[in-house]
Amino acid sequence: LSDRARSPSIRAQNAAPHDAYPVSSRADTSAGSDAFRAAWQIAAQVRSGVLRAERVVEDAVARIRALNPTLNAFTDLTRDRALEEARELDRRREQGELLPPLAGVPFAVKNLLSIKGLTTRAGSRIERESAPASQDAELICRWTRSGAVLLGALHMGEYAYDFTGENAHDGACRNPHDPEHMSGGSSSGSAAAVASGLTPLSLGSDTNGSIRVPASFCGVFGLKPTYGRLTRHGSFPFCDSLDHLGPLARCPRDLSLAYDALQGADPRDPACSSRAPDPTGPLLDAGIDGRRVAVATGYFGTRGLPAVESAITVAARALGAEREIEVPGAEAGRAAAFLITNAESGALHLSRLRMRAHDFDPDTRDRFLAGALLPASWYVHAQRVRRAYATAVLAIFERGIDLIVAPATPCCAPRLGQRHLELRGERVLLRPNLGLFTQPISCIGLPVVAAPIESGSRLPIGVQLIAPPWREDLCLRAAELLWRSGAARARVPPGIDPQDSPSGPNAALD
Amino acid sequence: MSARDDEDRTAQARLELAANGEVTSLDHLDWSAWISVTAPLLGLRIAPSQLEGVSAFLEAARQMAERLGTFPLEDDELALAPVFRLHDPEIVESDRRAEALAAHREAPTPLRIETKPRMEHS
Repeated sequence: LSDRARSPSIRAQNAAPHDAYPVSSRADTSAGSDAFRAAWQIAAQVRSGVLRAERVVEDAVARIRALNPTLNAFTDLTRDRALEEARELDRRREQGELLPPLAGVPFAVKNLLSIKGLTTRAGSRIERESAPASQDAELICRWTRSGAVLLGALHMGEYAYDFTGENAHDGACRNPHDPEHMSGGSSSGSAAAVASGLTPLSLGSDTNGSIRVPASFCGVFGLKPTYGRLTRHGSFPFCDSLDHLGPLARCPRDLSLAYDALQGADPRDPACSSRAPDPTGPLLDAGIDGRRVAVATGYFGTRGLPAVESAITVAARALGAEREIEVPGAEAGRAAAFLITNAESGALHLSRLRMRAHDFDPDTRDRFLAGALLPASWYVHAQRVRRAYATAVLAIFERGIDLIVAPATPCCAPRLGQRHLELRGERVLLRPNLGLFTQPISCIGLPVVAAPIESGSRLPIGVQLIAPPWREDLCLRAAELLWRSGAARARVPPGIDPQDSPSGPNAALD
Repeated sequence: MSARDDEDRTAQARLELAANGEVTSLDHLDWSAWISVTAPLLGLRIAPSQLEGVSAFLEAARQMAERLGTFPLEDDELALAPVFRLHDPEIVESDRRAEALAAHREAPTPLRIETKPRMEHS
């Protein structure tokens, strides 16, 4: 390997830390909240008393009521709880207490995470009959302890087996950049809500790409951490071998702040590492100077995918990536992810498939049924391939590559209802192929940031920034560098006025 | 004799051919035969309207299973744990799985890792 040369964009990392982060000029309590104000800005203003947390919540609720009938991103609104928590934060600050790092920052969660007092839907019809959750999921508790305020639960594909954001029970979650297009899934509401300024932070889950695919389609940043880094306590499972939880945000600084508040061991999740937290915030401005960045090729090749090619080119230039690398065994890794997911989820839902098959979304039901019928030897083979493939990919990092850049999705957001996709000149089924580039990475648990790239396409598209295990900081530092250079940005969707918070009824959420 | 009986006989005949080694690829096996045998074992009822979709996903899974075969595996390359863990050098683990993984990582990788200068495609 030869050292990569400095590219002009690398110099951007030496800029003053906050030059690229314009703080809202409307920093008074009488003005309405900017819908796209960053989480770290909100927290700074609430902690200093410039902004009241209660006002932040009121404005967010007004925006949700105005925009959700179009976007269908929220399935539940926890307004009373949010106002109560916000008022408590304001009271504590007035009493002179130093507030925690996410003070007053609104957030919402994919509706597979337990929220005390709400039924955990997991995007299904069947689970709506379950009793309300008796406690919050652990990651909600951690954000709440950090001062963030829960606004509600978000739309998702049924039982998380989805890349589209379409749901037979709830209707489609729509893309804020064009409501005739898919949001992506299965963390559909998590991406759409952040993209449209309904909340600056959200939590999603990612088994095969369910954070990264909607992040790419909706044009926001998403972090799928190392497998085992974040506890999954209180989340409805999909495929235990592959399930991850992670945050979505509009800028890497928010993503880092949010992620640092989530880390920590949890013996209630057997996959959760006992490793001590690795804070990324102090490293975020360190850049990636001296790090070797390579663009994934071969299986991840972009020929015949013009929007993807443009995004990769912009990201590679900005990161100074002058090497290409073929990820060994990526196709087999994707196949392993497919089979492990299909077999484990089919077994998980077997009793529901026996008793309630007619209550499933037809698009997920047939996949679960097929998964329940797979030969066991395919599953065992897939687990062995996964292990050996992980070893082969880790060798890339051990031999000097620090970060891999790869496409996130094979296209921009398809139109709602689209069933097929033109992929390198071939007409293929859409649903199984939206995770083409994400599945080989989550299969082996590597940390990834999906970053939305400014490459000239009408609809957003993202790239994956992939690092060795436990090096989320590298993913976030690269994303920050892209952000500072202007190569990555969460665009404001057309037709959404950041200053506008019209109020209006939304009976479905009240 | 009903149409369903005919289908069952055909499916059974195909399974017998497969068992005798006379069919080596599932390309020649109607998925309805597999479904008709395995679904009752699991207590599942596959409605006629679901047959096409389930068959399509089983076929997709078969193709994925074939792709697994493109990755070389030695007999001692195992997935040892029901819970997948990445090796973490900062954690001292005394269990045998970690030792096995460390030993495995020291073995030469079966695939060559190469990089080349990146060429932007026009």
